[in-house]
Amino acid sequence: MAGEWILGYELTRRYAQICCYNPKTKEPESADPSMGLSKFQIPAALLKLPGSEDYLYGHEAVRAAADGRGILTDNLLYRASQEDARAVEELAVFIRKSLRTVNTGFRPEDVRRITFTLPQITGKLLEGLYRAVDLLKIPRERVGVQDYRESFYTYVMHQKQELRSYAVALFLYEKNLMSCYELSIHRKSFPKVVTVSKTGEMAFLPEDKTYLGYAGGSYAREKDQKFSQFAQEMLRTKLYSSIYLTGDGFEEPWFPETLKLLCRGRRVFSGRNLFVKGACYRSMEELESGQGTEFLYMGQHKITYNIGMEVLRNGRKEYFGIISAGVNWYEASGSCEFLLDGTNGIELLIQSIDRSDARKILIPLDGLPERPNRTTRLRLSIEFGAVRECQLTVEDVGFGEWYPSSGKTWTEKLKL
Amino acid sequence: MGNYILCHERRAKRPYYIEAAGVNIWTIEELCYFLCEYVWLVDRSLLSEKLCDWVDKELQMPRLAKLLYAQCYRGGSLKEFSQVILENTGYCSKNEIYRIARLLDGMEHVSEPERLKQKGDYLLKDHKYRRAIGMYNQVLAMRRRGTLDGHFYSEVWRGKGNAYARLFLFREAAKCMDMACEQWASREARSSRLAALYLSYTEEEFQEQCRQRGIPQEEREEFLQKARDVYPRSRHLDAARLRREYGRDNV
Repeated sequence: MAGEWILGYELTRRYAQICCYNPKTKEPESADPSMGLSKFQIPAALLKLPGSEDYLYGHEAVRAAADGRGILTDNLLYRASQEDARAVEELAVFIRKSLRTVNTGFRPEDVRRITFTLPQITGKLLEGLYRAVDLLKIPRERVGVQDYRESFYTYVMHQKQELRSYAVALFLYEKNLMSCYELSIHRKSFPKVVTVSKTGEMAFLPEDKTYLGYAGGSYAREKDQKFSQFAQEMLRTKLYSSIYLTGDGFEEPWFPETLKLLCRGRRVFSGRNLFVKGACYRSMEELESGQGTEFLYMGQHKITYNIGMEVLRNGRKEYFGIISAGVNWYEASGSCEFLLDGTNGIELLIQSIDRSDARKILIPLDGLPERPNRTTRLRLSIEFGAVRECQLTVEDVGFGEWYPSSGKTWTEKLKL
Repeated sequence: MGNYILCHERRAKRPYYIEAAGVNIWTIEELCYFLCEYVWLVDRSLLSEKLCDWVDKELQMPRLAKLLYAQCYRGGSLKEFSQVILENTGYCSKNEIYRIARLLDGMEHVSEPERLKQKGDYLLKDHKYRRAIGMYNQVLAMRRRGTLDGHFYSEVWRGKGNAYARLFLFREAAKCMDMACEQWASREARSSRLAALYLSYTEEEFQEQCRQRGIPQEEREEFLQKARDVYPRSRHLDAARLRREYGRDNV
């Protein structure tokens, strides 16, 4: 089974979930650590047993902590993002142990592709996660990261077409906070641009069970009423083909009234593994080259500019793209090598995806060694530090034994 | 406005050694550069299966390798072989490919000594003096009456003399320059001989050596005037010391 795992991995402050591609059904399947109880979530916690080097993880760690057998370490991802080497190591241990729920003989080299999905993405979170992945020795090129919104997009795009004929809504209810998202497809462009935007947010007061007049039923009815109003407000403005409900808040059936409203002329789905499945679909997509050209997801982390150069390729002048729009900034990097032919600078072409902004940028190469024409070989690399901020690095790589590299590099920061 | 020639993304892990130039190459662009700039050094040793294998395995250019294998197996000419490489890489323009093809075409009719002399000249330019001397010796060993004129051999001797001079072996250089003048006493050969003698001996000895060779007084004076400007006697190299340091036996 070497190199066969295609995975989706959801990681939040509180829990993790894993999905694995099943080649027989050609669909993602959630890994079930509860041995048939369909409790897919693994508490994101570790516990180091006193006097031992071994860790307990997930439910086992929580139980051990309750029994007073040690101190629970939770919030793994956020601690790892604080540049704490030990926390990074613990996150790596947790990921490795949790991946054993898919297969007890887990080896990092068996991972063909893994996509992590996080509620939100920040530079620090990514750094912590990538450092943990490096410790696991999973090659970076096999690792993808996306936020919940993008996972929602990939999930929806792998459902039946009629479920997205019009807009698609998502209600995410976690920790007394209900958020609503809308997925829209702009069909007039090619590729069709898909966006996921937040349309509303509503907080519920936590249930006060200590209140003397507490009656669970009335609290639920009140909540249902509020949710119904919230949903009605949203559904009035647009046509929706399908609605998805996810989050731990939807575990209990406290919203019969709202459900009746939502189901009117629409398909409604409820589940806990939407995002992790979306992440697994992304892993599958990445391995199927040539797929997914019909739609282009434009989220808040997507680069909206194409960066390239006009080059001579096999004697013909053509545009060579180094960075393509529609890629997450943290996953965007590109490089190319070229020879200078009658010039001492580099001219980059930058164009926004909607073609409203097109620029030419000249990078001067001060102190470039003097060499005959077509013997100065340079490598241009582009990396992003934020969605609108990139760094260009030009390196003199030399031209064989005739003109060895001078070791010079030039760097330039660019605001898009 | 200039251009940017996009390079093939693959760089060989193991270089290909071009024997004719004595260099290792790692990329297809370097191979093209060799074909364009050192066309006189290109010989049939390049037209080998080894190069095709290198293009195929190391550079991972199977399409080009296939075309090169075909040229190899059907005994194509150097011109055709080089054209296939240049046309499939985009390193140079069509006009340049045409120019190189014509040169290579012409080289098919160039005699072996002429080609070897060009190699020697390239090696000399590339500071590979010992190999250059070897190449010139090969040309001189091939000498047959009536095939090439004295001027050609004069240039060969002069090249050899230059290589010795670069190795600070000025007496050997002077002997070569004597031979060059014997073959064809061109202005350059005579001037080179005077320079070699000037660097080999003290000024008195230089005068004596010139007298022995029957070099006219005016020519000597004219040379000395220029030589003193370029290289004053006070900074004259101590030939004996250089000989000790650089060890002529090693050459």
